[in-house]
Amino acid sequence: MGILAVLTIALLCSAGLASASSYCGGQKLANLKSCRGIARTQTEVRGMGNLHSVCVGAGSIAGGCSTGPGQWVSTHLITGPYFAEPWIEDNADGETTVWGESLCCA
Amino acid sequence: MVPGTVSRRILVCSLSAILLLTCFSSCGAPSTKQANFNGQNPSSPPEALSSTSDPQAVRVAGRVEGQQRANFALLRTPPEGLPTAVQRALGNPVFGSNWNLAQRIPTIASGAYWLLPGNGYMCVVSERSLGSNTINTTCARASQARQRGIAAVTVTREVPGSQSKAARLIVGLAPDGARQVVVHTRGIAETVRVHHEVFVLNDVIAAPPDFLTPR
Repeated sequence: MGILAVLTIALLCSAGLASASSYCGGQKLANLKSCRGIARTQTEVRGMGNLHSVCVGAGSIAGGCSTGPGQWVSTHLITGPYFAEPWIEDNADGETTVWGESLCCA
Repeated sequence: MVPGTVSRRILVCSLSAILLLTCFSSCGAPSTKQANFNGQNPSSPPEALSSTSDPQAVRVAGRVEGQQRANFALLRTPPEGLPTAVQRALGNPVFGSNWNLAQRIPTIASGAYWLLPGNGYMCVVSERSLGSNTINTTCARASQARQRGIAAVTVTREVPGSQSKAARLIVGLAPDGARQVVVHTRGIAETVRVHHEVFVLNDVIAAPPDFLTPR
């Protein structure tokens, strides 16, 4: 009974975990530039720009975009884990600081 | 009671306690932060944005916050909740969003859209079309959403030599009382009519808006 409880707890603990790794954290992007992180396997990419809206994606997959500064946009790759470079792109001429995060695999 | 049985029970209980402690320290934080892959720093948003540094750490809202309900009529109707398949794709709630409180945004635009109230935040979840390989979520502070509205944006870039043309689809929600939303993009202002809080813009600008102005 005790062993069963231990196993259940261990299973519950491992089930909901997704590992998150950052990319382009704190990078200043200007003049519509994008930043790419090192290729990795992911099921979700998300990002934010503190002064401008941004778009995120991975490899050739173009994800969603935010509609203003400080908003987070996430793209969930529903076909499963995808190995590619996660990217984040600034939308405006001026400078913005961006943060990207790649998640795998809940 | 047999001493051997007692010591086995103690062993099992101790193991369970250790696992529970490990579980609470890891299950409470759904994301396992790892070292920065590309050697850049800082990896987290600055202190001013610290409340958004771990979107999954925000406590899930038990009900729609009063100010969100007061500013968006859609949140004053019975919620449909997010479909199970979409919930499964999203994995874990972010910014305290409660999937049971999700409201389907009524629009004829292609795809399906939901307004997702959270804890001090509001999100829009978009599923572009059946068979699409992505689901997108855009989240803003509730105060920003109340002032600016909130929208899902997808941008398709033109690929030279292919059939792919530049296109942009914006589906969003304006706060109560707004009749129009001005979409500002790189110096271009486009005015969109609002129908029952919902606005849709389909154009060929291959960039997300800088900001929205409901009026």
